[in-house]
Amino acid sequence: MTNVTSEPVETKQVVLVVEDEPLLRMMAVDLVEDAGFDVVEAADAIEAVRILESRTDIRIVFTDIDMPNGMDGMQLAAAIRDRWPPIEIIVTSGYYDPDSVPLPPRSVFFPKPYREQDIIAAMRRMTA
Amino acid sequence: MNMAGTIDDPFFVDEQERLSALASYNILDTPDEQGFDDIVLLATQLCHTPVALISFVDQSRQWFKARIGFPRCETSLNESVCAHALAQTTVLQIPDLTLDPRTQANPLVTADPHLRFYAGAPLVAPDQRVLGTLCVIDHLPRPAGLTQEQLTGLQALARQVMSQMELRRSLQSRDALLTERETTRRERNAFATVQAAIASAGGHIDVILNALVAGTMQAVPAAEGGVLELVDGDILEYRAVQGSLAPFVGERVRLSDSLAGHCVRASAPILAADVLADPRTNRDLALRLKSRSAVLAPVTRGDQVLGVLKLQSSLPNAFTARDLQITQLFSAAATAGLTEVSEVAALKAVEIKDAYWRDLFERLREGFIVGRVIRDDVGHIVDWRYEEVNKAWGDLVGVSSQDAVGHTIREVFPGIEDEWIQDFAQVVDHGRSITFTRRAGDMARWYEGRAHKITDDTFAVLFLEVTERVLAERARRANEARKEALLELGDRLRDIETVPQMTQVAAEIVGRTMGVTRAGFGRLDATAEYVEIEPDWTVAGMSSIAGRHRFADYGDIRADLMRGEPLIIEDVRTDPRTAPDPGPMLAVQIHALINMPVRERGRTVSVFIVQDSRPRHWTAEEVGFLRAVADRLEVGVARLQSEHQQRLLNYELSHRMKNTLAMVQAVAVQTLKSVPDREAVEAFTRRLHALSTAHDVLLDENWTAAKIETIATATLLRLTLPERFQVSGPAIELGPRATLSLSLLLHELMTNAMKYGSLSCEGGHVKISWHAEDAGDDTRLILAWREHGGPPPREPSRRGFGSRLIRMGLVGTGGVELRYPASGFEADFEAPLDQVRHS
Repeated sequence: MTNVTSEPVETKQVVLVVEDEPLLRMMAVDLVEDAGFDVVEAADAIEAVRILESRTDIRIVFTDIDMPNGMDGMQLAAAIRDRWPPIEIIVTSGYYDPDSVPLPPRSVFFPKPYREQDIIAAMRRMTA
Repeated sequence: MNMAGTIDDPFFVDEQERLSALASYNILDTPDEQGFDDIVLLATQLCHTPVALISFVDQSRQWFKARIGFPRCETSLNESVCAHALAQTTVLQIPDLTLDPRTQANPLVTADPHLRFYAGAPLVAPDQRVLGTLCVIDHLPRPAGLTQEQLTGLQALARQVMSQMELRRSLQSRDALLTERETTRRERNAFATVQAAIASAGGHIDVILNALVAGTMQAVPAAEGGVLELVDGDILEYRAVQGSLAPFVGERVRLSDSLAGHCVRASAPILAADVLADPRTNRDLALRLKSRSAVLAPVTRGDQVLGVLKLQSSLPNAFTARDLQITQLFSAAATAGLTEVSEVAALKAVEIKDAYWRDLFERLREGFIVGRVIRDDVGHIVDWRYEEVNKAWGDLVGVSSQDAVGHTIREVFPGIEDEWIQDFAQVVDHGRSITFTRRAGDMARWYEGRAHKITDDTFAVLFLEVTERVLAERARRANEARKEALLELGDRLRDIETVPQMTQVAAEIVGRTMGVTRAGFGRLDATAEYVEIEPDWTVAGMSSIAGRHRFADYGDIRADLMRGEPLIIEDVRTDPRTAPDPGPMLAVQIHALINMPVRERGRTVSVFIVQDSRPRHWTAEEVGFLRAVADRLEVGVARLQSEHQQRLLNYELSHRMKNTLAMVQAVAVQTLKSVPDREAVEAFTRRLHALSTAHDVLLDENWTAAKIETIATATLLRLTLPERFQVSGPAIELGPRATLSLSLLLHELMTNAMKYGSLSCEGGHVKISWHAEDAGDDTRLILAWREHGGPPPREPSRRGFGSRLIRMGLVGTGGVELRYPASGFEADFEAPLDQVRHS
C-alpha cells in the first residue's frame, strides 16, 4: 500500500509516515502535508523498510511503535539509525516505557494523542 | 643466860624472819630420816637420858623431826620447853622442871610423862636464827646437870643436825632446779607444738583451738581438763575441750554468772584455789564439771575479750601461780591463732563464730564455692583453685566435692570458658560483686549465681542450676523471636518488588531467627530433579551454595519434597536418606537441614532451605515456623506475580485508551476539517490532551490515586514552561475521578491564563497551592489558583464550556469562588477531602 507522489519537488522534504491504523495514518498524512512536506506512507515496518530501500529522498520517518507483522516501530527506528544514519526519526505511541528499549540517537518521542503543533515543530527543526 | 621473862618472850625476837628461815628448809611435816634419827640416838647415849628430840618451833606448835622416848611428833607451844631455848645460842639446862618457874606449870611436867630434867642445844641457822633444839630429857631431876663433855657433845650433835638440814636443803634446791628446768622445757615444747599446730592448721579454727588447749594442758600437768570458751553474745561456748572437759563440747554458759564469765568481764586472769569456796563460781556448773580448782586466762584481741582459756582439776589447790602464768601465755597464743584465722577468710570467720554456718552451707540447695585465684608472673589471674565447695556444689555440677577441693577449675573442667576465670578475676581485682547466668563447658547445664570478693586473692560464689528455667526462657524467647520474624517478614515482603529480593529477605530473617548457618530458597526445574538455589544467606565465614544442584547427588532427599512434605534431617551421617554417602553434604558443611516445600497448585515448585553445620535437633516449633515462612513467601510471590500481571494489564488498557483518544482526535480533525473556527477545533484537541495527561498520571499510580502535585505539574507542563508556575501543598492523593476533574480544571484555567491572564504577557506567572482544613465534622481540601503579573482581569461576559467546567469544581458539585481583583485572577476550590480521595 504505497502512495508515492509523482516526482518529489526539489524544495519539499519527504516524510515517511508509518502507521497501521488507517484513520490515524490519514490524520498524520494530512498533518505532514499541511506542514508543507511531501508524504510517503507505509502500513507497517516491513513496508517502510522496503520503501527506504527503494528511494533515497526520505528525510524524516514518523512512526508508530505498536505495529503488527513482526517488526515494531522501535525495531524500525533502530534499523534506520543503523542503515540510513542521516534520516531523522519521530516516534509516537499510546504507551512507551522509557525503562525498556531506549530510543536510538537523534530521535524524538511524542505520546498519543499527540499535539499537531509538537510534531510540526519537530519536523521543522529537523529539516532546518 | 636469861632465865626470867614469860613463855611468850622468845617469840618476839625476829619471830617472822625466824619462821621464814625455818620454812626455807622445808623440813616440817616431812617423814623420818635416818640421819636425824641417828643423831637423837647418839644424844641419848651421850647424855644417858631416856628421851631425845630434834624439835623445830613453828608458829603455833613444836614439831619433832626425830625423837626417842617421846610418843608424839608434835606438841603445842604451851607444852614446849624448847621454845625457851630459842632466845639463846648456848645449851639451856633446867635441872628440875618442877622447880623452874618457866616450866613448873607445863602439862608435860605436871602430868604424864612427868618430865623432870631438860637440856636443849639450839639449832642455829647460818644467819644465827634459832630454829629449834636438839634436846635430851630425863624423868628424874639432875641437879648437877650434864657434864662438860656431855654439853660439848650435845652442841656438836646440834651442829650435826644443822649440817643435815643444810645438806637436805641444797639437795632440795638442786631438785627444784631440775624440776624447774623440766617444767620450762615441757612448757616450751608445748608452746612450740601449739604454734606449729596453728601454722599448719590452714586457718581451720577447730584445729587451732584444740591444739591450744591440748598444749596448755601439756604445759600444766596438774590440769585434768581444759577448755577454750568463746564469747558469743552474752554466752560462752565450750569450743575446744580436752581431758575431763571433753564431754562438755558445745556447753554454753552465761557470762553473767560463771567464773569464766567473770574472767571475761574483768578481762583478768583468775587462779581459783578452791572453786567451791569462790563466791564468783556457778556452783551447779562446777559440780557438774567436777571442778574443784581452776586457772582461767582471758583470750583478748585489742580491748576485746574473745573468750577464756581454762584449766581445771578435781582437787583443790591443784594450780600454782606459775600455772596461771603459763595459761596466760597460751591464751595469748590463742589470740594469735584467732587472728590468723580471721585473716584466712572473712567467710571462715563466720564459720568460727558458729559451726552452725558450716552445717547450713552443707545443707544449702545452692552450690557454694570459695576460690583462690592463681596469678602468672606478672600478676594476671590465669586460673583459680577450689578451696571449699559444699555438697550442693557437687550435686549441681556432677563432680564429687572431694575431687575438686585443691584443684583448679581448669583441671576440674578442661576446656572451660575463659569467662569462668576472667569474671571472678574482676571480682577480686576490682572488688565488684557480679551476677552471672552461664553454661559451663560442654555441660548442657546453666548456672546462675553471684560472686563476691573475700580477700585480695579469694572469692565466694553462691549459685543455682537454672537449666530448666533458661531452656524454658530460651524456648519462650525463640517462640517470640519466631513470631516477630514472621511479622517482620510480612512487613518487608509487602514492600519488595522482585522475587529474588523476597527470597533473600526471607532467608536472612529465617537464618537469623533460627540461628542456623545457612538459609536459602531454591526453585525446582520442570523435572524436579534439579534445584536452582538463589543467592543465599549464611553466617560469616560460611560459603554460599547458590547455583544449580541435582537432588540425587546428595542422597534420597527428593521423595519427601515431591509429596509436599518437609525434608527434615538432624544428622546427615545417621539419617537413612543420606547416611550411605554423607560426603557431598559434609563437603558444603551441612550436618543438619530442613527443606520446606513451597507449593503451587498442588505441585512443589520451590523449597525453602535451612542448614546447620552441626547436627541439630529440629523442634516442631521450628518446622512450623519454616512452614509459615514458606506460606508467606508463596503468598508474597503470588502477590508480585499478580501485581506484575496487573501492571501489564494497566499498560495495555492505557495504551488502548490513548489509542482511542488518538482515533477520536483523528476523527475530529477529519470531521472538522471544513469548520472555519479553527480555534474551537484547537480547544477540543487540547482538552483531549488534558484528559490523556490525567490518564498518564493515573497509570503511574496504578489507577488508584495520584498526588495533587504530580497532577498539576503534568497538566501545566503540557502548556507552559516550569518557570511560569509554582505549585505547593502537602502530599495529598486524589482518587481517579478527582484526578481527571482536576486535570481538566487546571487545563481550562491555564488556557484562560495564557489567553487573557497573567501568562498572556512576559513576566506573569501562576501560583497553585492547596491544604487540608478542618471544618467541623469533615476535613476539606482547599485549592487556590492565583495569577500575578498579568493585565487586570475581566470577568468574561460569555459562559463557554471552559467556564462551566471550571464552575463544576473538584468533584463536579461546585465549591468554587472566582474573583477578579486588579492584581490578577483568583480562584478558590473546595471539596470534602474524603470525597476527593475516594472518588
